[in-house]
Amino acid sequence: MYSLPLLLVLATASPEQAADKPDPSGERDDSATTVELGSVVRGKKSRRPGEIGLTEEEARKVPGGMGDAVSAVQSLPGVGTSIPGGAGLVLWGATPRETAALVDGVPVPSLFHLNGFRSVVETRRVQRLELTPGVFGAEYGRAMGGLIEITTARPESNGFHGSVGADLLDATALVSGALTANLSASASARYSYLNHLANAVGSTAPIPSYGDWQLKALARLRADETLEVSYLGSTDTLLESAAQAAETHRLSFHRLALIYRRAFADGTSVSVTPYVGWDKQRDTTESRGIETFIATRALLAGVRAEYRIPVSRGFELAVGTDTLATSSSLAHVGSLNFPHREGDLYVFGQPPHDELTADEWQTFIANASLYVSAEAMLGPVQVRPGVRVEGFNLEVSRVTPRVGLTPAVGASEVTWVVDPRLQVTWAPTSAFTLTAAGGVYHQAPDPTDLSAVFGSPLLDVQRAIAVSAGASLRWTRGLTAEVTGYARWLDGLAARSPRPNPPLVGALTTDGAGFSRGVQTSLRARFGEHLTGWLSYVFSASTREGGPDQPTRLLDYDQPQVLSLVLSSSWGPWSFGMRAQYASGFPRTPVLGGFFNARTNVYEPIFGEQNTDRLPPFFRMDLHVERRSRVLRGLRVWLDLQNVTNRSNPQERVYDYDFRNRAHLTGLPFLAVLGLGLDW
Amino acid sequence: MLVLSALVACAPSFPRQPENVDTPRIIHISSQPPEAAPGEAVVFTVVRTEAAPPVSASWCRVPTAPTDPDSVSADCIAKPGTPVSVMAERVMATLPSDACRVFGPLPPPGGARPHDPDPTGGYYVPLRVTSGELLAFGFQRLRCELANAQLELAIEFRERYPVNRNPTLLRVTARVDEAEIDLSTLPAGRPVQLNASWTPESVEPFVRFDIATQSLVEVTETLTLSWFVSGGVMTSTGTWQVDEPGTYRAWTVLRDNRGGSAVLETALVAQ
Repeated sequence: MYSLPLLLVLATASPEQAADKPDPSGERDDSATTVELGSVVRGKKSRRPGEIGLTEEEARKVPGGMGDAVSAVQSLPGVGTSIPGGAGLVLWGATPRETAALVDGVPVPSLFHLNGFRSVVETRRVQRLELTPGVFGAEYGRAMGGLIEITTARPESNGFHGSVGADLLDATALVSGALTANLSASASARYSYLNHLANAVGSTAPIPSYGDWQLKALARLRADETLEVSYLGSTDTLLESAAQAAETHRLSFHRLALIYRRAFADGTSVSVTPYVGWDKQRDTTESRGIETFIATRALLAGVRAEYRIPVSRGFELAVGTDTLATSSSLAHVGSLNFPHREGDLYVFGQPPHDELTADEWQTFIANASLYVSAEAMLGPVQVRPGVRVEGFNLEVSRVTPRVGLTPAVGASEVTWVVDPRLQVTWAPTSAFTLTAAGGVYHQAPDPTDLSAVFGSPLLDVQRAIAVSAGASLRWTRGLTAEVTGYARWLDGLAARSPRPNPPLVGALTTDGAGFSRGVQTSLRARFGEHLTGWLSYVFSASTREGGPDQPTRLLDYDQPQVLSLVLSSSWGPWSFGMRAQYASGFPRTPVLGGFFNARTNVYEPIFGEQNTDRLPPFFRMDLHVERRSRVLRGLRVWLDLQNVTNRSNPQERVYDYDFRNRAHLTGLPFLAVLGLGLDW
Repeated sequence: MLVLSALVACAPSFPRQPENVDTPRIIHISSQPPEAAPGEAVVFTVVRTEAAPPVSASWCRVPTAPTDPDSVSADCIAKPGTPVSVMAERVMATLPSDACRVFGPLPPPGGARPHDPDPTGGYYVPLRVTSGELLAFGFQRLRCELANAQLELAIEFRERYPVNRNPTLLRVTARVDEAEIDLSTLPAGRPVQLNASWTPESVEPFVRFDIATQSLVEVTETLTLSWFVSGGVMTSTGTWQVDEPGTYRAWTVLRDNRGGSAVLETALVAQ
């Protein structure tokens, strides 16, 4: 898998794996990396420029994350600032929908709970976190924007260990240990309580209620053969109310996976991961006495399998399959233009149309792929070609809206694609590396877009072509500079029809297109435990078009400039962290005035040209302080200070009733979050 | 509480509220009849806070697209449509003959997607009204055949659906400290609770077609009351307080949820 340049590698700080910590100098020992994942992994891992190595402990201490290691990904280069109230990430101009989230190779709906406060995997369960924007290898597909993959830690095989923790938001517990000589297991759970505290004091603040849990068992069948069983569950509920509308969001998902790995004496290895899952989501809005909703239930099953062959010295081949089938049942009551999608014109808090319709439909989306990838060392040049042959089967239960008792007529379409991928790395010296990569990527339409009433059952597979090139220079032992340029072209995107009377099943079209490009630079430092961190600057531009005769506009998440500085330091029992981030404000469409709707007695906005204005820039500085107890081994206390400059960062633009005056909805003021944890 | 409230965004508050008229405005646009078929004559009344500039009006001809965020199309916001006759505050117009195809449930030419109804099953044609810089839209409810339903249901709907009539506002009264008081002797500096009354026949039962269950559902209209005043501070629930004695204009608008309405203008004298 490529990751040009963003690989955040975490290693648990457990005693068994203490020897697997990355070399503090920043030079990666591939054999140590192999051991990190267990001796049955897929052989020697290739060197990747731009790789940032952080221990789980260091990631957890990145300020602003409130002790959540996965949240550190929001501070990495190439990642836009968090979408207010959202749980997704924007990578290299890709919307959250275009980025795949994986836990142990299994796709999940989201890596973060609603509102983005916490990840769905408890911090201590995270062994490895990989962020790959834009360009990735043939082993993965079904995504156009990038990958975020979490590898969860294996259960402890030496003794019995655990961890408990609590802070302002939630409490967590983890136990892990050996059941027999060859069997170990772990269990973790998290429960949020801040919403209960808020309700108890009569607050109507939109605090999410969430929980997640994981069970894992590891059986060592032979010296180089393991079988893991992993179960992950997550649930979220969020209630939000404003002057004109109240929204309720519920999301829950479950994943059960078997992970089989075996390494053979001849150097080959095989891994097989079958999995099943169940998702349930319901979003309800009540506005002016009218309730609308969209509900989804999905069952999914898939399997990943890979066989790696070291053909010769310096040449390795991998052959695999990545297959997923998802059966969804959906229901939607509401208006065509709600919920909003990227590219919609709207003013924050504007109620949806009161033109209502309804639909119920089922989809079956199956995706089967075979891939071949190779890794060849030709002196200082490493070449990693790959090809992914993928078939998408899109089945919809209705191709026309329901009319009376007319039976539903469904449709099925199979699309085959061939996605080539290539990465070439040239390292003329041990300190200097040049890398270029590119590939073609395809993604199936979302089941919610396949409604004959609200979308179109005729949507096709979407495509992206991505390229990137970069250079990495290690100036000194511990100081590395990188620069990377990228470009992504998208087409076949689902977009709203601009026609006043669109075709019968054409509320959405496949005419959407997009283009993202940018340059990101970073300077990474690692000087033992006393100083680690990075400084990054990204300059980018992302645009979209709703169709061939539609004007080009900025992507709703476009941020031309993002500057981030993250520093952390440890001195004895004390740890300190600082994060500062400056970013351009998100685009907004100017409102030129308002007109009066005499039927509903409200004013509605008159819009200017789409996304030609911006929110003011965003700046925030966070600090993190942690102390380990010297008296009680394993006890730690941490304090996360968010927005220490107390800057009122505008998050949304709001208007008075007739749009004559405007102001900003601002983000969190200064906030201090205290946490306690005990590890044994 | 500080911590809890700090976990949410800070929302600004605006001093101007819609109930308090501080600039020239179009308060309401009513139509008679409130529901009509294509080709029928309709008379609109434009209620304004100022008599000038003159009113001009036109029918919208372009319906909303899925990309339109507002209740009327961008084309209709930007420019007038089919002009109609205006005399002072009264607009005399004839509903376009193709209104049920352009704005209603009948399929437009070429197999295009018809429009969706409001929660009461209604479809509306926007009337664009301007008065100087002011822009407002009245909405004429259409009487169309029921589409996208079985023939038997469509016939039953035609037989059972009662055409909407405007509600009737009777009077506006005032109370201070639970005692009724004349509108010409209201006390300055004290809160006054205004109330409006209407005829019982203003709340009409009707049937609507529920697309989810593909059946006719019996429902009853809901009425909403809106208050506007030219001075002092008025709340959405009709509580009014003014510090300066004087005569103030108040408008009371009663709407049913099928596009019908009634307007009453009264003088509030504070002493």
